Amino acid sequence: MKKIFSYLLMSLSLVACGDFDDVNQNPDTPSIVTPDFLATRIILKTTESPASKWFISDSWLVKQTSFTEHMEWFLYNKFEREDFKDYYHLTDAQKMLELSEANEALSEGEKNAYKALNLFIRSFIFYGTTMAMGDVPCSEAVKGESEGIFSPKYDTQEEVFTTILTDLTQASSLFGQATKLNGDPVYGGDVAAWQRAVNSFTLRVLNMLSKKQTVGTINVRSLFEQVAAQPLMEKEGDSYRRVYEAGKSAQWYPFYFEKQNFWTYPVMTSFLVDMMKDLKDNRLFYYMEPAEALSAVSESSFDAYSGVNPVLEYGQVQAEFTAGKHSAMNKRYHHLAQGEPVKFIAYSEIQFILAEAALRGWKTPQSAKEHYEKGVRAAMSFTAENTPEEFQHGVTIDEAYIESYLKGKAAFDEKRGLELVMQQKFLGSLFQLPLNSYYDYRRTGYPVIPIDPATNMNEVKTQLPVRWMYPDEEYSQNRANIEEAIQRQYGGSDTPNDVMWLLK
Amino acid sequence: MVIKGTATGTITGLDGDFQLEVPDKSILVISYIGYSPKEVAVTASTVYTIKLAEDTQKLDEVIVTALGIKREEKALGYSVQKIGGEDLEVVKGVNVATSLTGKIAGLSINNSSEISENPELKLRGEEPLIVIDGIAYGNMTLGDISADDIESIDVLKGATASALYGVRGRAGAVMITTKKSGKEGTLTVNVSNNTMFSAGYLSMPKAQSSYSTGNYGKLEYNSGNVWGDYMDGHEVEQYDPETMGLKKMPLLSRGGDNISNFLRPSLVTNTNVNISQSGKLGGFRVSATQVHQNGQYPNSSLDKYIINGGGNITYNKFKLDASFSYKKEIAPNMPKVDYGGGNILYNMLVWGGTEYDIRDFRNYWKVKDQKQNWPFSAWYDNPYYIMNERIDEWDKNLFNTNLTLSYEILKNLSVMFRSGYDNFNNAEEKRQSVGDSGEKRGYFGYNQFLGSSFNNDLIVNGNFKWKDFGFDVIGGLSSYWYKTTDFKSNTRGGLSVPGFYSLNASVERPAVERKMKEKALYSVYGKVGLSWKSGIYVDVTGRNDWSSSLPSTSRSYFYPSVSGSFIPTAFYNPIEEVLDFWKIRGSWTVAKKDLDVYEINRVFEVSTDVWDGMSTATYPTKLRDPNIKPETETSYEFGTDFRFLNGRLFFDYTYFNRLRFDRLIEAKISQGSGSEKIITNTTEELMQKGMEFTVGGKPVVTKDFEWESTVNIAYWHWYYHKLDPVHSSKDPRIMEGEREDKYFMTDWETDHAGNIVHQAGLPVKNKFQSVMGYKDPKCILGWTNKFSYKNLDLNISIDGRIGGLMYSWTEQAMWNSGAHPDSDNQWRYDEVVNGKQSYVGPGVKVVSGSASYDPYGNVISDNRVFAPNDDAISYQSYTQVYNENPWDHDARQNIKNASFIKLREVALNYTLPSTIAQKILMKDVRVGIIGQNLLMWTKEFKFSDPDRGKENLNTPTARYIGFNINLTL
Repeated sequence: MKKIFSYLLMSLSLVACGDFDDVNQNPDTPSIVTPDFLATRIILKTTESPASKWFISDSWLVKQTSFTEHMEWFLYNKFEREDFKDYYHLTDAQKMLELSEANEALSEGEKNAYKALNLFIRSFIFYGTTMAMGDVPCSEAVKGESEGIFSPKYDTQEEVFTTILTDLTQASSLFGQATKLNGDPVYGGDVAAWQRAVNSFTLRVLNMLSKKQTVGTINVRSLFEQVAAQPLMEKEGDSYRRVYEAGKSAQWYPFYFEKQNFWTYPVMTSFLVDMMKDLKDNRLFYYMEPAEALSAVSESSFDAYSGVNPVLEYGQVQAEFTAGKHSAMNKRYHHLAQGEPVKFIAYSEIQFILAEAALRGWKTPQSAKEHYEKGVRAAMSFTAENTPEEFQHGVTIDEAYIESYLKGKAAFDEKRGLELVMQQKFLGSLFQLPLNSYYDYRRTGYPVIPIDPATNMNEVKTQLPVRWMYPDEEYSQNRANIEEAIQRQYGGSDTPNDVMWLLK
Repeated sequence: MVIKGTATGTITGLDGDFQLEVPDKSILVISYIGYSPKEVAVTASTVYTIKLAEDTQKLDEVIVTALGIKREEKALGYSVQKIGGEDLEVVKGVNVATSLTGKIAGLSINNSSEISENPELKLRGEEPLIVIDGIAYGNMTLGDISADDIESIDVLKGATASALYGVRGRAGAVMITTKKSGKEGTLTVNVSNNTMFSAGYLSMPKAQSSYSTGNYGKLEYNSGNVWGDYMDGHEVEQYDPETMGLKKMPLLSRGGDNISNFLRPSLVTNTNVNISQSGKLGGFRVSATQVHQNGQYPNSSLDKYIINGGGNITYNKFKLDASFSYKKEIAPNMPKVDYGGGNILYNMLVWGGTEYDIRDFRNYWKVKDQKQNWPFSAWYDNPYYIMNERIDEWDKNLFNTNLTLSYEILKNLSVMFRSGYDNFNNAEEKRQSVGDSGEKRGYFGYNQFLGSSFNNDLIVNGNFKWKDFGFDVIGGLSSYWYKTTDFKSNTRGGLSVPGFYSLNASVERPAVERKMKEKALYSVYGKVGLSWKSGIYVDVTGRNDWSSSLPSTSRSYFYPSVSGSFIPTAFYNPIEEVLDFWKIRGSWTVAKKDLDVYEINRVFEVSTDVWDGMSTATYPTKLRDPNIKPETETSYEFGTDFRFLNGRLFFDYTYFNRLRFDRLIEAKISQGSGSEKIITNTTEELMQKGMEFTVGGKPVVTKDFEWESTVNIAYWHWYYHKLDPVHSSKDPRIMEGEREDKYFMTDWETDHAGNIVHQAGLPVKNKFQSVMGYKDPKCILGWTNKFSYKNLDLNISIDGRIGGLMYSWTEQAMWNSGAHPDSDNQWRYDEVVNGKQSYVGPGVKVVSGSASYDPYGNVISDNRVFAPNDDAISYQSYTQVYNENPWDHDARQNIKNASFIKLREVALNYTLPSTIAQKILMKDVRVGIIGQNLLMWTKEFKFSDPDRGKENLNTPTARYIGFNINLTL
């Protein structure tokens, strides 16, 4: 009977045909790929800049630019919620590792590179989320598919940093035992460059822990000194960065005007403009356009440039902008398809970090002054190299200028060391190093970002917020764990003004 | 036919032959579905001419039930409703679904004013299966059938009715029966035309015309806003469409009527010719339909051609039915719908300003194929450019065919094989010129969407009678298979030659992409029906499906149903002169649902040449529970049906209840897990409860005049029946027993008295979500009327939806852009003309203390002290925070009650008396005046028509008035 029945069924399905498993196989998605496909994906994801106006939104927060489309919360220091979406990339990293381990065609040296990349990417992403929010899932994170942990517990920020530092140390040593990283759009597979980047990033992490002596069992200073003696980025071109290209539309700079229409809205702030005028910093001409209302003044004069006071009531900012009183961003940011490379860990940044450490009396390869000056030279040359002549407003930045700059008001002064280092880091970070200036400000208070309690939208009107709130979804999908985390950190509250472990 | 007083009987052959041994003086009772039985005394004659009268009271109306099997309505234990084709031909619009609106209790139809959008059918809230002549095609919709080809539509509501369609029929089915050749020996030719012109609009958005394009009181074209200068005639440098450059001119409002000036009269014509003939062994019918619609915007139109033909052969015990249909649809440019670049209202109403007259921009090129004559370069395009050059052209082809073979094995046992196949091939061509606001280097895209579905059924059907008992048994096998392929290609990096639209114009290597889907579903099913004395009926069905989209462990699943009806009046009716008929019905069924195609696979998504020639792969962020099983729904319904006074009054009531459990959901999991969600069976259960009520009859019947009227009201809501401790929301406002369609939104922070809290003069948003009300309508209603006086008849149909919240993108967007008419006020004047930024938002500010809340808005602590808000700020700044970009926030003040009532159709037709018709060699002549979408009442929607089911810059709905001619030769 059963036979007859299945025969009948088959006869009916002559055209529908086939085995169910074949029918349900999508011909356009493979079940196996080589690990380099995933390596490329996660490297691109960690060097991806947000699209449209969000590309420059960090500069609103640290008051480098204001924005005249309409009120944006960042302009007036209102923080909303963060999320953990970057952890999805760690699933890809996990898969990369699994595929590499299972791939017999790969050499040990290639496998080590994937292992190292996985650890670096994990550290990079955990660093991002813990800096933003405080405690985050780490030891139980990214085990949804492998171990069925759908509600990972939150590790304390100290534990997270311990993991990051341990993993970075291991990543560095693995890159040392690697031969080649396949599918690498940043360093073209050069594992030595990767090792320098990992070590450099380790210094950034340790520097952000400057208020702490120890993290778990790790002594911050001694680890810093140890890593500072290892190979580090040697030039600005070694930075962990994305280089854009005019010749391929998919590789255009994120703020290029053919990709977005927001380029007419940014306006430079008095905070940035006045600081640069004070230092006679020629990067000003490379960062912005002369103010319309000052068109009578030569474009190569500092007097032709002006910034809006970013803490004015928004209607006033708009009124002044509309009247043409202030400088717009330099046209190269939106009319050069290749823009400039966008750095995520920069050589110049690491030099400033070393300078800062030296100022604390930590052992560094060179003196604070030397690191400071190397940082300034690299940052300035980077801007100079990426600004074609037609965008220079008749002002040059050459070696001679840089040396004179370093003898002027920007000259290193040990007594104001930290302030100067932070100022130069800040000046070199326009549309670069996402959120780095904000985190440095949060940690050191430099440069002194203007705040007006009458227009500040932060609940504590005298300060910038110090963290982002946890994602809404966590209260539904991971409630017990998040409640434990906010209880132990912030006494049960979750606001942008609660102070995380790192800052205590 | 049976011998009266006995159970002995027979069924006649197709020619009416029969053989029956009868005792002397017997009386034969001859009955046929849909006709009144007739008694005939047996004589010596071998030939009887018996004419059965059509059953006018329609007590036992014939319903086309699942699998296309005809049943008497009284035998059905579930809710069904039939509508005759003639009721859908009264006003023939573009899509026959529009004419169906409001006519079936429980079937709500969202009619969009967009030329590119078909009406959306929702039966008890979900999309029903469309079945044509018994075949559940994969790709046919109601709009693919001409109104003139529809004999009738039977709506099987609820899962029991369509239990035999298995997984595909759990939301009910709309059974369409197409017209076949007529009576034997006839040749009929029918020609008809419906032509309607637009006569105004049911809704028309309006913008302020006092302030120009620009920002903070200054006219300029880069900001993208309409918060510009006061237009009192002072000289300002403006864009001049004549010289196509900037020029000092008086600043005046020249474009207050830009929208209506840009719209053009629209037109709908629907023409059909059909011929049918019928002979001794069968017949043939062929029909051709052409529908043309001019859209509201220039260069938007739709042409639809449908040709179908079919015939049948009956030879002895063998019967064959076959038909085919082909539809072609051509649209030279489908306007972009919804908020965003390319949408006409986005470009004109919201962000356009009125300092120019749109008609001056008819010449839309400054440099042909490269630069538009238009002041804005960043965000917006010239609307004439959009409609003529920013092209989204469609060419759709749909073919379907079917074959039904049946053979009568015994007198009451037949076998049928039915096969249906459909195939579509749709091509889309997209163009954007060099200089377009979005694709500045130009764009060309060519997409092809292909697909087919194949349905087969083998059904054995038997009917037996024993004494007062009747049995009918059905057993069947079926297979369903479909495959679709989307092939998309487009240029990258712009066009190498402006005006050359081809993949060959791609500057970089063009992008191509293919996406396929394939599924197979095999089934076996059966039904046993039992009846007693035409007064009690019970049906039991069962079906087992095997689905390719489920894992092998759970791909086979079974679902049963039971239904029954009881007709008390068949047994006892003491008030026969008042009560014609009373029926009580009930049913229970189990329905299941499988997964989407490929959902169970764990595979990588690969993208080619993402960066410097390198390809990438990514793993899905959606996990799958390894123990996944089909979702289950049990539903039951009760109903009753009364008919009084020879059909002068009737009513019908249904209560239905559906419980959905083991629901297949994509449960969100903590992002910290490295994945976004998991496909799993949740223990969260949802229950739908609803009612349908129809009352109708003939309030007035005189010799020459008759008024027939039917009102239907339906409502349903979904409720949380049980929550899942893991996957359900932890929000305390999501509770067992509460409705599932709460409207969650981010509200303004308020003080204890409900005043909005301000900080720095601006309104403050809560950090948590609030519930504002419900999304679904309270009820849907329809009212149809037919008045006949001699040869005149007048049809009026009205329908509407009451209640439910809907977000108005149009209002939020106009407030944000500065175009809203209510933004033309004193504060704005003060700011722009007097230079005073003096707006003080009504509400309070916090002078000390603070409040903290849990994520659901419950107060944890609150020691705020308030003072009235006295921070004077810019009115524009305030308005743009109070009404953010419509993507970012659905602000309370722009979430509105969506109630509306529409006068859907009116038709006044005159039928020529047949004596006169015959003089001009016609069998039948009908002419009339018709209208569609004539009037609308809305509760809160001022600028747009909520009938679409959402409000997102809805194109104004045209009111159509026209005429109808119908000739039968």
